[in-house]
Parts: sequence; C-alpha cells; structure tokens
Amino acid sequence: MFARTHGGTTLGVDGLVIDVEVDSSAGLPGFDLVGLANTAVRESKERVRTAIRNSRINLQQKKVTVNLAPAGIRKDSAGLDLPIAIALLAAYGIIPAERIERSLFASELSLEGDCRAVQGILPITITAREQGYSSIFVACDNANEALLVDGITVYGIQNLHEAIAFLTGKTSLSPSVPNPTPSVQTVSTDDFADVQGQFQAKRALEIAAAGGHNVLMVGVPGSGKTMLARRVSSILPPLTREEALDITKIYSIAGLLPQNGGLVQTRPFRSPHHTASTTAMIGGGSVPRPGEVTLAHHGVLFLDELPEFSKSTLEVLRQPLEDKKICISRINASIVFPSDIMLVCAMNPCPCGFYGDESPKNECICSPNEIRRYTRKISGPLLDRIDIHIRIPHVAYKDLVSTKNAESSAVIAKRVEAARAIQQDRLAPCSISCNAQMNHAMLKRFCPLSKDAQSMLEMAFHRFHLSARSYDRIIKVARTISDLDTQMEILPRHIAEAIQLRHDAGLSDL
Amino acid sequence: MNNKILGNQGEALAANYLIQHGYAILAQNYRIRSAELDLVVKDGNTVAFVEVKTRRNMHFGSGAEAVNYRKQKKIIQAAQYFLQRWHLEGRPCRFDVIEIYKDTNQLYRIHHLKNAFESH
Repeated sequence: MFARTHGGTTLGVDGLVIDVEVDSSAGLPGFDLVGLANTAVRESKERVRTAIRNSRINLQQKKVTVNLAPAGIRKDSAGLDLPIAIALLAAYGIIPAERIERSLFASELSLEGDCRAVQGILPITITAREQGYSSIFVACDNANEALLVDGITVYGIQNLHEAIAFLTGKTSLSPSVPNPTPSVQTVSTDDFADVQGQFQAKRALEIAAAGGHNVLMVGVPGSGKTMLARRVSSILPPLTREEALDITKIYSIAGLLPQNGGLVQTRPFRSPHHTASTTAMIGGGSVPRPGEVTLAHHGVLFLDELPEFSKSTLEVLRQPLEDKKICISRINASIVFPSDIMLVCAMNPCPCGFYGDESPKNECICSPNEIRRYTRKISGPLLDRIDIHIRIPHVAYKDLVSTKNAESSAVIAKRVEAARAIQQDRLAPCSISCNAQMNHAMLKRFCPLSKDAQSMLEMAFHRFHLSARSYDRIIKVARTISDLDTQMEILPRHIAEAIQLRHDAGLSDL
Repeated sequence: MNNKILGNQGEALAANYLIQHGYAILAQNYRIRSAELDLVVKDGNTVAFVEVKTRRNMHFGSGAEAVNYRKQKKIIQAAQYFLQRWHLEGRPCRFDVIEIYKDTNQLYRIHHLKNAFESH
C-alpha cells in the first residue's frame, strides 16, 4: 500500500516542506530510503523501526520503499523520523491515510518512541502555514517555538504512541496552547550606569545607537572599550515582533534557542574571538549555516582587538555591511542570510597600546613601522563603512571614584527610541529604518543643511581634505545628532559634533 | 568431517522441527552456483528462507552471529533466484535463522529466529 505525509527541513533561513512517500509491498523484505538523504536521515531507518516496535506495534516484514521529495535537495534533518514513521504506519493500514494528508510532522524519535526536539521548527512552521497545512505535530519541547506562528494548529506530542492513538481516533489530543510567557522582563545586566566618566564615548555610542551607525573605538588598554561595547545593546530600541521573529528563526536554525524557549526578546550581542575564520564570520559549510554576522542580525557584532583578526576575515565583512545580507554560494545551494548589524569595533592605537596617550608615564615604545604594520590590517574600504570613530582616553581618577550615579541605560534608551521614531517616520517611504542606511540620493532629500551648517562643512571639507564618502558620512551622523536634538534642520553644532566623531580617533591618516 | 555430519544432523532436525510447527518444506539444500539455501519453507502464504547453524558449544560465537553480512548477501542472492525460478515474486517473504545446540549428553536445543535479517 502507498501513503504520503509531509515533513520539513530548512534551507538557509527558510523552511522547506518535504513530501514523505512510503510504499509497502510483498517481496523480499527490505527498507529502502531514497531521495538524497544525508547520514542523519538515512540512519532514521533504524530509529523508526525500533520506535514503532517499542510503541507496541508489530509490523510484518515487507518490502518498504521510502521516498523523500523533492529529490534534488539534500535532506539533513533528523526531524524526518516522525513523518517517515507515520507514513510507514499508514502504508501498513494502521493509520488512516486521509488523516495525515494535510498535516506536517517534525520530530526526531528515540529508540523508545519518544519525540525529541529538532532545530529549525519555527521556519518550518512558517512555511507550513504559508502552504496551507492545517496542523503540525512537533515534540513537546518544540511546541512553544511552533506556537509563535498563528493560523496553524500545533500538536505537541510526547511520543509516537500518543500520535498513533490520536490519528487512529482512539484518544483525543488537544492542540497546544501558548504557555503564559514567563513575565520576567529580561533586564540587561550590563548597564551604562556602571560606566564612570567616558562622557564623550557614551555620547558617541548614543548617537551610534540612535542612527544605527557602526563605531570604531580606539583607546589605551584598560580604558573601558570592551565594557562600553557590551552595553551598546542595552540602549538599542526594543525589538519589534517582526525583528524578534527574524532573530528567533535564525537561532532556531543554528540550534541556539534555549530549551523550549519561545521568542527571542533581546537584541543579540555577538563577540567572536579574533581567531575566528572567514566561515565562522559570514557562514558557510557544504550546506550553508549562518555565521556571526547573521547571528548578530538586528543586534550588535562586537569585534574586540580589531587588528588581531585575520585580514581576510575582516574583508569579508564588506558585503554584509553594505547590503545588510550575505550571499553564500556552495555546490549544494546558494543561500542568502540576513545580516542587518551594528558593527562595534575596539582596538589599541599601536601594538604596545599607548600611542597618543597623554600621561607621561605611559610612553609609546613602538616604532612607526610597527604602528603602520599594526593598523594596516584594517583596510580603507572597511574603515569607510564605519561612520563613527572615537578615541577612548584614560578614565580620570576623580571620575573613577565618583559616587555620583552615571546615567542609566534606560534613560539613554528613551532618547534613542525617540530619535529612531523620527527617522522611521521620515524614511518609511524608502523602506529603510535608520539614518545609517541612507544612500547618497536620500541624503540630498532628507538632510537639509542650514546655511551656516553648509558653510561650516565647506570649510571642513577643504581643511581636512575630505573625500566624497566622508562628506556623506558626516552629513549622515549630523542627521542623527539633529534627530536626537529633535531639530528639523541640521545646524552648525550638529555638523561640528559629527566632524569630531569622524576625526577624533586620530586614525584618519591610516 | 565431523562438522559436516553435525551440520547435516542439524538440518534434518530443523526440518522436522518446522514440519511439526506446521510449515511445509519447499526445498532442502537448494544450491545455486555460489550459495546454498538450507531450507525453503512455506508458513501460510509466506515463503521463509531458513539458514540452519549447528553448534557444539559457544567457543566460536553463537550460531546466529555466524550469519554475517557476507553470508546474508549470499542467502539473499539465492533467495532472489529461487523466487524467480518458481515464479513466487509477489509472495511475502522472510529470512529466518535456526540455531541448534548439541550439548554433552546428546540433547539438542533448537532456537528459531524469525525475521532474522532483511535484504539490503
């Protein structure tokens, strides 16, 4: 007899529905699995058979053929165990075939028949809903994730036996309902209130967060670069539901969602070590998997000790920074991963770390050649994509011991949110959301400069020999500053601050 | 030579055992060029190909263990030939192993393993 049901796997960040067809006939007993299955799927043969036997069902041995369609795509999800088992039981006439025609199954099976959670349930559920499936059966541990999608009935099941009993009509099974989400507002433990002094740096990071600008921090060792960077995500505006779904999808595929975790509520903060390879950074593998730039989607990618990264690892960041997505082409598939990130980098000005430090105690001992070699790693094109460059000085003693409470992240986040709201209203027609994403044409349209501001910028242009690109970037940052200032027009003081944020690092000659 | 006699004894015992349990013998020691089927029997509508292994002791592993991948392939090959030759392709089939242990006081223990393996 023949039976068909549906399973799911993922391709890039999207789900893919797999038709699982099973035929059983007389003849030499055997179990053939066809349809470009990888090892994990091919091994499901043993799991499925044992799980069925341990669910107290004895199947007479027959010639069984399992086909996974579309045949051209490599299947690599252990979640195909359950649909294969269900279709097999239907082919033996144990489960009525019409009960499973419009349902999708996704779970791994244990030898005992228990359902195990698998990766990528959220994208699979979204695709199933789009293609009009009425219900999806997942492991209990995956139910919360599947329930994030409206418009499809989710059944969380404990084991194969439960599914069989329900599908044969022996018992009833009520659809899963969303757990009342634990109302613990995830309070970020990293708060700007902990950072004493560093007012300029904090101001620069506030501007960066408000406009979605990338930041480079240059400073002596121990000045608090890392501490500041870790707090950037605490002042970014709260996630919208779409953004949260995007992030959850990516984390679901990468298998990084916490056990039975629902929606990701916080913006990701990724800080890969500087030994990271190109593949770790942008994603890859024979079946492409997301890398750090994708895992930091809608959040912060923090690169500490920037010059220590290998040159190629840094250069591959160019495309994702420019296009907000990364296209990975491999022999099996060409896949586009999203990578809308805010890049925050930190570095020392020279190998010893004290170049340009004011205090006479810490004199730089590096030769000019060493400094050049150190900073040469960071190419012009990459620096060009970083709107804000700042210098982080030593913390002054009186700031360090000050008991005065520094401004908390919550207060800063309010201002950032207000500035983002202004930008969203203005930029909505261009379907972008923050100032950093504006192109040259949009700059002309949305960034009216007051007369004084214009003449000031002209002066700076000649004085500092600015390139056309730097000119654009200064206007972009000035736009964000004026948004924080809730001004319609860009005023001279905004331009002045923007120029400072560009040249403060002393790296302009690199 | 002793082993061969033991084997033949075992196969005769297995045949008797199967007849007693309601099976009909279709063939015994069915030989093709490279392989042999010890017993081909009918269980209702099902055709069962039975490999018989006789042992005096467990010093060299159990009987069923001896039916390894290579042996299975040979049996499967012979079974395919048998089904074709007698036009039985549509029948349900299975592969059984019968282990027979002969202990010191000349008693036999028979262990019938149904569905021991399947074609790969």
